[in-house]
Parts: sequence; structure tokens; C-alpha cells
Amino acid sequence: MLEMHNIRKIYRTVTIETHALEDFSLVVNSGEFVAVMGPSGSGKTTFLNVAGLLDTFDSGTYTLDGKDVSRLSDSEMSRIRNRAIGFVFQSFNLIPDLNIFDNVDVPLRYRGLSASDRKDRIERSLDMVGLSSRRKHLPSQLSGGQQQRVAIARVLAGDPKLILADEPTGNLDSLMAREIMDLLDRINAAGTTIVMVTHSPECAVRAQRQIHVLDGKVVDLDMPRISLAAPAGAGIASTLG
Amino acid sequence: MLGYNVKIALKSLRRNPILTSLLIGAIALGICVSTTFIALRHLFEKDPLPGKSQTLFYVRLDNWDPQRAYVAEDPKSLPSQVTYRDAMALMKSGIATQQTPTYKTRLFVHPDPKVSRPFSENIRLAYRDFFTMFNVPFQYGGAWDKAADAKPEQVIVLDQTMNQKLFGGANSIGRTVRLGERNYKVVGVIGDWRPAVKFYDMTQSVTAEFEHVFMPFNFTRPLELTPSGNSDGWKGPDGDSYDSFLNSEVVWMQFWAELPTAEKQAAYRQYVDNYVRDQKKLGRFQRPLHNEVTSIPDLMKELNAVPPAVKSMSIVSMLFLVVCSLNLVGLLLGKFLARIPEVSVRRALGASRLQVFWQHVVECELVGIAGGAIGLLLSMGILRLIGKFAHQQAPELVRLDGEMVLISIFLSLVAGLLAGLYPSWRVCSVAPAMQLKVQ
Amino acid sequence: MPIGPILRAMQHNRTRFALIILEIAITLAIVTNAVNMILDERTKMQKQSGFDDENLLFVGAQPFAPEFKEQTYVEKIVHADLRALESIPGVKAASATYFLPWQGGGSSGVWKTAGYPDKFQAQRYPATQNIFNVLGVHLVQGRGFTENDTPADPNTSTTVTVISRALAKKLWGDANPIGRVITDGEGDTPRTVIGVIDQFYNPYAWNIHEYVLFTPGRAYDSNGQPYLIRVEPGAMKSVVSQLEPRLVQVNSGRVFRLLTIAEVKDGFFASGKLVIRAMTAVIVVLVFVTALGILGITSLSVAERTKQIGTRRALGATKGDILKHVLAENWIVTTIGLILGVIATYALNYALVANVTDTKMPWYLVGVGMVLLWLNGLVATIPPALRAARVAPAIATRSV
Repeated sequence: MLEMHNIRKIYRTVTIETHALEDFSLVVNSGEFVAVMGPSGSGKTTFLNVAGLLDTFDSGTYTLDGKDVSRLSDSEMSRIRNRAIGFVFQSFNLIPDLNIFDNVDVPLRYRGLSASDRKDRIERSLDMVGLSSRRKHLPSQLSGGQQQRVAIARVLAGDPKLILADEPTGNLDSLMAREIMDLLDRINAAGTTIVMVTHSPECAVRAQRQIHVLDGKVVDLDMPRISLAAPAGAGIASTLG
Repeated sequence: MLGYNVKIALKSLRRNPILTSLLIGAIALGICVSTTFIALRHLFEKDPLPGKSQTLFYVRLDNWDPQRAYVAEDPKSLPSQVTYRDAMALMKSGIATQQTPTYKTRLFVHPDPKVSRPFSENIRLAYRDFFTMFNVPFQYGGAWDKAADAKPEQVIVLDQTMNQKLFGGANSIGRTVRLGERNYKVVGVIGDWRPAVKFYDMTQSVTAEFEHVFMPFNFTRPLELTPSGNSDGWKGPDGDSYDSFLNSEVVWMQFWAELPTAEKQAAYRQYVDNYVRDQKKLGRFQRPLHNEVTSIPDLMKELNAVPPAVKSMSIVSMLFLVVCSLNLVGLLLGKFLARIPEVSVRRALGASRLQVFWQHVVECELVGIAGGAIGLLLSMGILRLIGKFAHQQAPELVRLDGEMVLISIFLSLVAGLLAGLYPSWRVCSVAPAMQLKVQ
Repeated sequence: MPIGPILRAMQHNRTRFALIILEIAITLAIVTNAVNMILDERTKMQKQSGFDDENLLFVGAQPFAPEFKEQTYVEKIVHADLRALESIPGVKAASATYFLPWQGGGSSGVWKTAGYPDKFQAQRYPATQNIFNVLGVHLVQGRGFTENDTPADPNTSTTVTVISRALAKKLWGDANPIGRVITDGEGDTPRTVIGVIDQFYNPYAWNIHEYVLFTPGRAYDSNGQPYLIRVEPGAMKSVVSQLEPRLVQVNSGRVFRLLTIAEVKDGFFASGKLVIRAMTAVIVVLVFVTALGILGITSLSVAERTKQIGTRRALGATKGDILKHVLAENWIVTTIGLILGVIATYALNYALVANVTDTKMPWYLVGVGMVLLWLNGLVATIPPALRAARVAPAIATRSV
């Protein structure tokens, strides 16, 4: 699904060059749920920006869903973001002026779908996150967890191949965080690839694989896998019911 | 997509009503002021006879003082009218398809004593061609015929105002009106005819009142008529008789010729020059050969039909619109930059730069349209007010015509677009990744 | 207040400040040029004719009765009219003349005189002997017209003239004008200057507003006989009401047209008044728009920098420091705008002078305009500056 080889990303100001990513390589397979971890400034966010085609990089290759996306124009990148990738942000990034329905509608509008098709998708995805009764509400009228569910509905409506989540539970209390993680698990179980950047070990263990980033590189920490696999699977089973 | 952009734009405009009313107010003021003054200017510059004015020519000959130009400081200047004898000579060219000398005089109108006391009135003398050349519309009847010109027959044409005054607006064809000491039969009543500029005689004010009565030119001599408009002479008549006035170098009438083709125009200029050369042999026209055969649009330009104050105000008003637009740029910039977080979300969700750009341009245009509409209405009101002061003869002419409404709408769209381009570009060129974590 | 750091900080907001600079520059150009046009019109309006304008009245008597074909009859009627007019209580004097002050024109001719190299142009009006009394002008040299100056036959030309002081000065400088001879452009009909009046101003198409020759005799043409009448102060109303009946008594075969010179003058200045009104409106609205613009743009830029301002406050800046900072920014921007504005002002003036009007821009007007717009900018900046000063230092620690 996602294949990065020797990616280098440098931020330049007049006086300093910051090597945000240096020789960064990562392969994520279709259907995987991967957690990316690392301390502040390690390059996690840069990785996510590059992976999500929100930002360009200086050298290396990036193949997404079998297509080389290393050198694309802004509008080509916009198109792929719109159709193939879904974002879940730490701060939800709902548009405060738009009601829930219209917020989920935003990416669909840029895809040029018919009105009825859009309506179907929005209703279906709001159903999936259990918020169809709140479709006329404004984001400010919802709790943090509900807002994040709307953000996820926005992703689901677009039916992406890859979901990039950036600290999806960072702004939520633990109960709501659990809810969101359950939802992501469910989505992953349905076949969507998820790459999640997180600080939180509790969230990270819900993923099938953990990647550690340090100084702009993936480091091999040789995590003991055995201790993680069993409870994760059990968790999904229990919440999906 | 346009519908969606309009929806987003309306939402965004509703969010901050104060800012939105400032934005709309800025455009409205700019459009109001610029439209008002451009309309005033347009009024004076407008072609009075579209499609025809290029073929109608005003003739001037330099018969002035050998030692001194018509305007002493400007050696290129020449008299603004022609003499009676030269007008008669020009009538014989045989080149113009239609032609007429014309001037105004004053005569007493003696209405039915029950209607009013006698009153003195400006009467315009002309050949029948006057009406057909200048496309004068008729409510009743029409121009007199060629025979009436030649004889001349005692016939007149009234305009609506005079017909109202004398006959209460009824069809007065065939009725008689006493002018001076003779009775004249009404053959035509002019319909709705009121160009903003009195283009057929610009020797006095261009907004001067039109004459209300017209009679055949050939009454000039039998009635010994004298002009009530301008008359200029560098030397007086050689005697006291009326004929010596007609034969003098005093200029007092306008002369018009219709010359539809370039060949005719060239031939006519040749004819005029030859005529003056012949006259030089008789001792007249001692200044260097200088004649002007000028089309209506050129004449309006040359005689400065647009009052200088109106011209200055139209320039100033355009700058005013620029100031309003600069304000708009500043306000839109602030408004759009404050929206960068939202835009970055849209960008992350797949909106392309162009889509974001258009979304914001649409918003600017909505402001432009709203402001333009308000400005247009304001301007109509102001023009009505100005009309009362500036164009006493015909205040109803000071208004926005279709062309001006289009210009005004165009101006507001352009102002909205120009003011919005830079802010829209700024907001769409922000990289999405940078703003992701900021709310 | 250190300017350097402020300037460097302003670099980040270049566009915003550039907008205000441009706006101020254009505003200065418009305001100064508009005020210049207003002053120009006002100067024209305040020009003194030298006559008792407020108490002057014009009457045109247009005859339709056939007996007016007889010249001797007309002569008799004019005398009778003048006697009748002067017998109306409140009338000071009346003269038969077609001189109508403030109508924006009149009659003029080209003349010659010994001692002046070129022919010259001047207004000329025939008038009966009371004319100077009617106008309320003073003879500064020589004498006015007497009965003997008017030839019995109105078709013979007159031999004397009274001219304005401005014309005498133009022709002969300070030399004594009395006794000099003025002829027409051909050198015919010589007239001797017998008197000089102190002031005369009647706007004309050519620049001959102050040059006039009065000649004795009445002016009459087929369009009728005009009279100019001067009334006692306050008597205008009663004179106007009695005038027509009196003249009808003399001969009823005429129609009359009454115009006070005050009305004529109003008509003459109507367009000038409109220019003044329009320009005043433009100035007021424009200054208001510019102030609102500065206010709006500065407010937005303060709002954007809330966090930065909070940080400054947290680092020890006082409210006064913040206030001064915002005002100093504005001061720099306004000053640059005004300097550019001076150039714009003269450029616009040049464009207007070249194409439209002929009034040069006096420097003091630019100075006054600069001071006013500078104050305008200051006032418009105070509200956002105060808002900036009110930003709490705690903003700095808030993360979102």
C-alpha cells in the first residue's frame, strides 16, 4: 500500500537546515494497522505530511497503492488526497461554520459526485459512527469524542484505501479515546489500511505493528511481538460485538 | 461547484456581519461615486445619433480679420458659425445628400387670447432636411415638404411642449398659429426628442433649451429676421439695410451637411476649399486657407461638450473607487488569512489550490455584486438630485441608461475581482501541512 | 520609541502596510485637488462685480404692438418708461441698457487706440445717462454722460465713452486716460474717453471680464427694450409688484420679463455650486472611507498578532508600550503615504490641469491636507491600538 525508500526532507531557513527526515524507509502492506511512535521532533509529523501528500520531499521514492507519487503537481496531489487518503487529526479539524452533514460533505464536494451519491455516502458514514441523529448540529454542540467520530465519518464517506491518523486520541479523555480506537479497529478490520502517529503506548498497542522514529529515521527496537498480539485481537472482538 | 462555492461564500459572509457590511459598503460607495460621475460625463459624451453622427458634418470657414485670428491667442482658431452668404453658396454644392443652414430668432407667438397673452419665443429656422438628417421623431404629421422650403410656405413644426401649451396636446395638424404678423399652419408635432446635448447648435450652452417652434429657413429674408443666438463679426455690415447685413462678414448661422461616403466627404472638402479660393479672388477670406468640415463626434470633442468640472470629477471618482478597492484588499486579506486553518483542512481533504482560489474569488464577487447593486441604486438617487441642479432644461435626462448600468455592473465585478485576486492567491498558496495542528 | 525594530517587524506585514500607504497617498491627492477645485470656484463666486448686485433688477419689455415699428414712437416710449420707472417709490435710478450683469456674457468688440500696439478686445454697452448711478459705481476720473452726449438720431454713432479703470490701466498704464481716443478695429468711429469708473467685473467667455466701454444712448433691437433698475435696500419686493402695472400704463402692447440680478447671479453660479457640493461630499466620504479602511486593516492586523502582543506583555511590555508600538507603526505608514501622496497630488493636478481645468496647486494646501490626513490616520488607529493594549499577557501561555 505505502512504500517509502530513502526519503529525505529538509526544512531550510536562511541560516539553518533541519533534516526532518533522513534516509527514511517504510513499507506498509494493504490491510495493516501500523502505529508510528517517537519523541517530539523525531520527524513523525513530517512523515505524516509526506505520507499524506500534504508536503513534498527532497529525495527518495514514495509509492502509494502501486503508483509512484514522488513528483506530483499540487493538483495531482490534491486529487489523491481527496480520493485515496483519509485524515484523522488530533484536533479533529472540523469546519466550525458547517453542520455535521456539511462537514462530512466537504471532501465529496471536491470529488464532483452527484448530489444523491453524496447524500448516500454521508448518511451511511454517519450511521457507521452512530451520529446520524446529529447531522444538523454544529461541531461546537458536540463533545470531543463525537467530533472525532464526525471526522472519522468524513474519512469513511470518501471510502479511502489509506487512513492517516495523527494523535487521534490526543485531545480526548481515556473513555472517549477507547471509543475512537475501537472504531479505528473496526474500520481496519473491514480492510482499510491505517497508519497512526501517536505518543500513547495504550493506543499503539492496538495496532498490529509499531514503528519507532528517531531523528528522522525508522529505528529497529526489536519489540517483543508476542506480548501484544493476543490482547489486541481480543479487544477488537469484544468491542465489535 | 459554483453552487457549492456560493453556499460556502454566503456562509462565510454571514459569519461576520460587521466585516461583511464594511466590505459591501466599501464597494457600494466606490461604485456609487464612480458611476454617478461617469454617468454625468457619459451624458455629455454620448453619441446623439448612433450610426449616423459620423455622416453628419458641421462646416466652418475662416472668413475672419486678416490681422487677427478668431481667438486672438490661437492662430488656428476659426469662427464657430458661417455667414448668410456663405451658407447660401454651400447650399449649391450638390454633393451633400441632405443639408441645412440653421439659426434661431425670436418672434412673438400670439395664441388664442383665451389661452394666454402673446409671448416671445425662440424660433429655429431650417430646411426640411433638418428633421430627416437628425432623425427627429414626430408625434403628429411630419416635416414640411421641399415646395414649402422653396416658396417658402407659411408652415411650422411644433414640439410637444409648445403643442401642449397652445393646443392642450391635441393633434394640431392643420391648425394655425400666429407668429409675429403672419399665420402659420402646423404640419408636424415633434415626438419624444431630447438628446442630452444640443448637438445641432453648440455655439451656446450644450445643455441649452431646445427651440419649441421650427419654420422654413427661407423666411429669413422676407421677414428680415435677426439671430437671437450668437453673432460675431470682425467688421460690421457696410450699410444699414437688411441686405447689407446678409452680405456682411458677420457669422450667425450653423451649417450642416450629410455626407454618407468617404468619396462624398473628400469631394465636399474640395468643393468648400475651391469656393473659398474663388472668394479670395473677390477680396474676401484674406486669412490663410482654413476650412473645417467636422463630424458630430469630432465636433463634440473639439468644442468640449463635456464641462471641465464633470471631466475632473469623473477622474477623481475613479481614484475614489481605487481607494475603496484598496480598503477591500486589506479587509479581504485579513478575513481570508484568518481562515487559513479551515482552508488547510479543505486542502488536506483534497481541495486543489485552484478550487480554493475560486472559492474565495466567488466570495469577492458576491461582495462585488451586492455592493455594486447598492451603489447603483444610490447612484440613481444622486443623479436624480443632480439633474435638478445641473440640467434644468431636462433633469430627466440625468440618469443611468442601459449602457451605464452595464458599465457600472462591470466596474463592480472588476473591483471585486481585482480586490480579491491577491487575498485569494495568498490564501490558496498556503501549504496545508503547516497549519494542520493549529485550530 | 526605537524605530528600527518596529520597521523590521513591519516587514512581515508588508502588504497590509503597503495598502494603507497607497490609500493615504491617493486620498491626499484627491482631497487636495478637490479642495483646490472648491477654492477655485469660491474665488470666482466671491469676485465683486463692483455693482450693487443685491438691489439690481432687470426688466425686458418685448413689444408686439405694431406701433413699435416707428422709431420715434419707441424713443418716446423709452423716455416715458424711464420716467415711470423712476417714479415708483423705492426705485433709485433706471437706465435703458442691455447690459445684464452676471449673465455669463454680453456684447464685446475689437478696438484700437493710439499708444497701445495691438487691437484689443473689450465689452461694450450702450446705456442711458443714469447707468453709473444704477450700477452703483463711482467715477474716479472725468465725468459721466449728459443729455448732450446722446445724439438725437440713434443711428448716428456716439463720440464719447466711459471706461473701466482696469481697461485704462491696461491701455495706458498710469497715464491720464481722459481725452484719449478709442476707435473700432478698423480705425473708424472715434470716441473720446470722458470718464473712468472705479470697478467693473462681468464674467465673459474671453478674458475681458474687467474691460468695458460704456457709450451713451439706448440700446434697442427687435427683441425689445431692456432696463436695468436699482432700488433702495429692502424695496425690491414692493418695486417688483408695482413694476409691470406701471409699464403697462405706458404701453400695454408688450410682454415683460423681470429678473433680479441676484437670481441671474445664482443661475450663473449654479454649476459652480454643484461642483462645490459634489466635491465636498467626495472629500467627506473619502476621508471617512480612508479612516474606516485604516481602522479595519489595523484591527485585523492587531487581531492576528494577539498572541505575539500577549508574549510581549508577558515579557514585560506595559500597556503604554503596546499602544505606542501600534501608533508608531501607523505613524511610519502614514508618513510614507503622505510623502508619496505629495507626488500623487502634483501628478493628479498635472493631469487635471493638462486636460481639464487651469488651476495650479498651491503648496500650502498640500501642507494642510497632510496635517489633516495625518490626524485622520492617528484617530483611526486609536481604537485598534487600545484593543492591542488590552490584550492580556496570559494569552502567551495558551496553546491553541
